[in-house]
Formats: sequence, structure tokens, C-alpha cells
Amino acid sequence: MTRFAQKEITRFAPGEKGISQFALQVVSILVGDGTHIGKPPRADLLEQLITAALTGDADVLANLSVEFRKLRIPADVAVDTYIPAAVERIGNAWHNDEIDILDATLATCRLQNLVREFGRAWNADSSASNSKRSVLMVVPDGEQHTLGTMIATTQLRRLGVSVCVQLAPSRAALGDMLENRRYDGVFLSVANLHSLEAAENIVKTVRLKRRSSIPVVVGGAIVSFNNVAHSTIGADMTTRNVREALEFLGQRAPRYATA
Amino acid sequence: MLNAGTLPTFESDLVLGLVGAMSDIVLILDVDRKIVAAAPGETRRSMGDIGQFTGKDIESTLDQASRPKLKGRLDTMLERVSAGDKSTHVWCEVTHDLGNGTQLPVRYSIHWINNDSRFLLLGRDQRPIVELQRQLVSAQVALERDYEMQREMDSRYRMLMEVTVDPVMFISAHTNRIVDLNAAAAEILGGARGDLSGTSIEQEFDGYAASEFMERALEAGGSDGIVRIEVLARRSQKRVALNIRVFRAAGERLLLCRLEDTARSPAGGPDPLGDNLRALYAKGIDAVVFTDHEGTIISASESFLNLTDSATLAAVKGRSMSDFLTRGSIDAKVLLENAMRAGHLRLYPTRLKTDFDGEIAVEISATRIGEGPTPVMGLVIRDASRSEALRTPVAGAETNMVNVMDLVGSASLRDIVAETTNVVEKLCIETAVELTRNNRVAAAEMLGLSRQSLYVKLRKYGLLNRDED
Repeated sequence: MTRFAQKEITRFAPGEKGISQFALQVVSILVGDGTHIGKPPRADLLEQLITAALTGDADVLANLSVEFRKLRIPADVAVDTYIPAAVERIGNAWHNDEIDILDATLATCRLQNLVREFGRAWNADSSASNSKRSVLMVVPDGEQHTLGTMIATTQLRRLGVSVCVQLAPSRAALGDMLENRRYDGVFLSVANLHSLEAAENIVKTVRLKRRSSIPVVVGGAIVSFNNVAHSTIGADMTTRNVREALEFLGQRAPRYATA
Repeated sequence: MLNAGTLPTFESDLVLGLVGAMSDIVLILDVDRKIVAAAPGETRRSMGDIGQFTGKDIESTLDQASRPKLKGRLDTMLERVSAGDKSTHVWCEVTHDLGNGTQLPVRYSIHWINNDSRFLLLGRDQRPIVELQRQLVSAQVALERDYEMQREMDSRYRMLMEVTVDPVMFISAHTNRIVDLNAAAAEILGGARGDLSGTSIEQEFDGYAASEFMERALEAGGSDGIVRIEVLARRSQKRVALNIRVFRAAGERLLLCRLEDTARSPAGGPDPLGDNLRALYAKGIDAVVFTDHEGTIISASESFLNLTDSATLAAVKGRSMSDFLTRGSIDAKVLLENAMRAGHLRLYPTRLKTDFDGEIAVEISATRIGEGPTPVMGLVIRDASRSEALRTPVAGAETNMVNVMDLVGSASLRDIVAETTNVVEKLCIETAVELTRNNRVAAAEMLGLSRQSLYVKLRKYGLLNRDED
């Protein structure tokens, strides 16, 4: 028997309060839809973004910016959804020899500049902000670009994490940072199989300087390679999700958390 | 693309010359992918011993990553040929392994020679491109590194300015304007930090003409290099001593001034209400904005800058309030016209938009300050998203679900949807009419309806007065 068979069904009259509440719920769903969070990028806007990245055409970028405003697509959605999708398409185009490596690199640099522009607003380093954690984000030497790293960095800053970015640091510079500053974790951003050895050396430096007290999390495209686990590099965890990485820090190093 | 017939038939020697001139490396493969001939083009760069490729399977000359890629492209080419498409070519970027750790990146265009059933691969040496790409990547990394370093220095500077108790201020010797100052200095001068940044010293201080002030400031100071000048701060009417040290930053001559509040204003005396109001404006949780009667922002509190993600007061000053309202000029018009007419407008619900496309629900109270045709408007803006969250009962979601369960099964889906649409439509129209204080033209504009359509709907939902009907 169904739920409705067990009780007396109340017929609704037009204009009844229940309907209004239901309508309000519908409105709130509609309003929620406007946020674009978690939705795939719109094909037409993605095409415009890719064109802007490949050509550097300021007019295309300006038009795109207007479209984003019209559709109420906020900067964080642009950075988290649209730019990664554009990079993937550009990467595939290079892999399929539709564009050469120089075009692909230039396009990636242009997208990275966009991420930086958007990222200016996100800052977890002020006396007013309540930075809960601090993270050392390291990119090993030999990586082709640092766009993914900078996207993850903006995501962390948005979550209120204070991030120190070190791009291809020397062993001495890294050792110096670890000795003289305190971080809740080291995030290692690796995309390329060729960088595995450099990544491993970074983990060794971390372990040497801070023994095993500081968690090391590996992120980036390398996580998708079947034969690369965190143990390959000597890290404590692999993930491409900054929230998961932060949760892991919460379990591993609560003593470093500062209010 | 060139079409057949647009060019004359070439002699074979000419074709060979063209191929050599256009390529750095030329390979001919048979259908089994074996290299039948390999030769360098007329390139000035050393291509290594390309001749050693002859007789080898092409895949054996490539690095691991390039092998499946080239195989795929050759397969594609053959598929096209068997489908009757013999005119096109495909591109393929690969890396040759020349032994002894030497690698040669080449971008080939692959063609099918129909007469001989062979592949012709015309290659361009990619080493200069790869080198350029490496330099580009290095430049980008250097740029990011600089930016991150600047970010760190910015944070330190900002923090220093936020928390330093000693009142300090920077003045540009070139423009005679205040470049930046901390909160303690702003308090002595009697304004908000954002208001004072960018103003000229003549505007802020009495006692000296700018040129005279600067002449004295740039005089050689005492043994410690510090010059002391006393001025009267116009806003606060306080006598202030400026202890000035001159320095250069990136070519610009700047004055670092440490301020001393030497005495209270002789005429004014203590002003607790004024001080408290200023403190409330500076530190209050609700945003305060003063505009002229047309909605142009005269000043805005720190809270407003936070709500709208604006970096400085300069970024909002002089802009129209409508720039920050999601419904733009309609919102601003309703807000200001009503406040102008009635003297005030209470709790006008709308949404603020930020410079980074964010939106935030707010309630705005507007007050007309002063009489005459051009009064100043004072707006107090409260972040309603927080109060909404506080007001929403915890059980709201559950109640909604119960309502939905009551509805489903009580009528057909079509009826529920139709009735829901009507309710939503009525709600929106009622809200628009309320927001515009019954201004039908503005309400129609807000809803994107013609005036006639709005009247039809107002009549449909019984929202017209009897005399209007």
C-alpha cells in the first residue's frame, strides 16, 4: 500500500498556503540554479574562452566577460570550471597535433594570467581574516606549466588557507622555508611523469627537515596515472581535491591548526 | 588550401627543390612503415646522421611516447586513402631518438604518394620551438614567483598598516598627495583611510601652501634626517606635528610622516558624538554610503568596500550606486526617489553585486540629509543573507518536504505545475510592484514585460484597484 492510500488526501485549493510555500521552494531552486556551481561549462562560453586563450584577442575576452556577468557566472566558477575545461581542450588539441606546443603554451599562459586576475580578490593573509591553516604548495622542477597549481592555490585561498607557493625551489631554499616557517602541510603539485624524481627529492627534503611530523599530499594530473600512488613518491596521500587534502591535514596535524 | 588547377604542373626537379627548401628533414616510408629514404632538407642547422634511418622501421627511430602517436596518424592516413581521400595530409609531432641521449623533436606533415603507394613525411625541426617554449615556461614561472613574492610583501605591508599604533602616512613629493596612511593617522586627521588616500596636502592641512610645505619637508633634516613641521588638520581641526623622513621608492620621492597629535583644537574641544559617529562609520558592521541626490557615491565605509569586494574607496567614489545594485538604475531610482520624496525609505530589499560578479542579498535604508534640491542621501546597507540565514527556521526544509508530499497525489502534475507557475508569477509581480512603490512603468521594466502585459497580469491576479479596472 502506498503512503497516500493510508491517509486522507487533502485536495488543494488554488491560492492555498501550501502551494505558496511550494512555489517559494521552486523559486529557491531556481535561484540556486543561477549559481552555476557544479554544472558543466556552457559549450558556447567555453568556445569563446578557448578562442581568447589561443588568439589573445582582447575583444573576445571582453565579450566573454560581459556574458559571464549577464549569466551571473561568478569568478570562482570561471576558475574552477571553465579554465580547467579550456586547458583540457587545449591539451587535447596539442596531443592531436591540431596546434603546436608553442601555441598550447601561449594559450596556457594567457589562461594563467586570467586565474591570477581573478585570484587578486582571494586573500587569506590579513589580520581580519581567520586563516585556519597554512600550506606550503610546491611545484617540482621540470613541470611544463603551473596553471593547475595556481587554480588549486586560489581554491585554498578562497577557503581561508594561507598558501606559500614555491615554484621549482632549490633544495636549500626549500630546506630554509621548512626550518624557519611552520606549515600544516606540504602540497606537492605534479603533472608530469618526468617530474617524479624531482617530486621524490622534495619529499625527502621535507622528511629530512621536519622528520615525519608534516603531512605531504600529492595532487595534480599525476594522480590519474594508474601506476603512481602516493607511496611511489613517498607522500602520505594523493588527491586532486583540495578539500580532501585539507580534511587529511585536519586528521594528521591538528596541533598546527591555529585559530 | 590549394585546389587542383590553381597551379601549373611542376617539373620533378622543381618539386624536389621545393620540398628540400620547405623541410628540415624528408622521409619516405613504404606501406610497412619502413624508411626507404631519409635526407636532411636545405637547413643550416645540424640534423645529425639522418641517413642512418634508411632501412629502419620508423618506430625504431622514435622515443617511447612518439611510437603509438605516429602509428595512429599513419593508420588515419591509410584509412583516408582507402576511403578515396588522397589529397589531404595529417600533422604529427614526434621525437626521434638519435642515440647517446640526443633527441630530435620534429613536426611532420604526412602525405600519401599515390603513384608509389608510399608515405612522404616532410619534417620541421622543432628544437628552436621547444627552446622558445622552455623560455616561455621559465618566464611564466619567474612571473608567478615574482607575483607570489609581491603578494607576500603586500600582505606584510597591509598588516603593518592595519595594526601599527604609531600614526604614519606617506606623501608623494611629486604630486603633493597622500599616498597611504594607517588607521591611527586617519583618526588624527579626522577621516577614513580610504577617504584620505589620494587627497592633496593643501586640502587636508592648513598653515602652508603645498610648495612651501614641500620645500620645508625636503630641507636637510637634523642629524637623524628628520624634519618636523606643525600643521592644522582641516577635518579634525587638530594641531598635528609631522616628523618627516624623505626616501626614494622606485624612483619616486616619498615622505614618510609620523604624526603627533600636539593639542586639541582650540575652538572645538572634545566631541564625543562626532568621534563616536566617525568610529561607527569606520568600524560599523552595517555599510554606510553617502551619495548625492543622483546616487553618485561621495563616501563609503569600509564595510561597503568589503560587501562589494572593492579594493579601495577610490574604486567606488564617484561611481553611481546603480553600479552596485543588481537591478541597476531601476533599483537606484526607486530607492532615491522614494527617500527624496518621503525623507526616508525603510528596509528596501535588493541585491548588491560585487566587482567580481558575486551577489549578496541586502536591506537598504535610505535617508535624505539636508533640504534644497540637491540634498545628500545617507544609505545604511545591511547584509541580509546573514539575517535570512538566522531567521530561517531549522525545520524549513522538512516543512517544505511535507508540503510537497501533501501536494503530490492531490492533483495531476499538470495542475500542480500550472498552479505553481501562477503563484510564482503572482509573487514576482507583487514583489516588483512593491519594490517600485507601485510605479507600473518601472515594475514592467524590472519584469521585462510591456506595460500592457503587466496590466493584463495585474488584472488576472486581482492586483488592480477597482477604479483602475
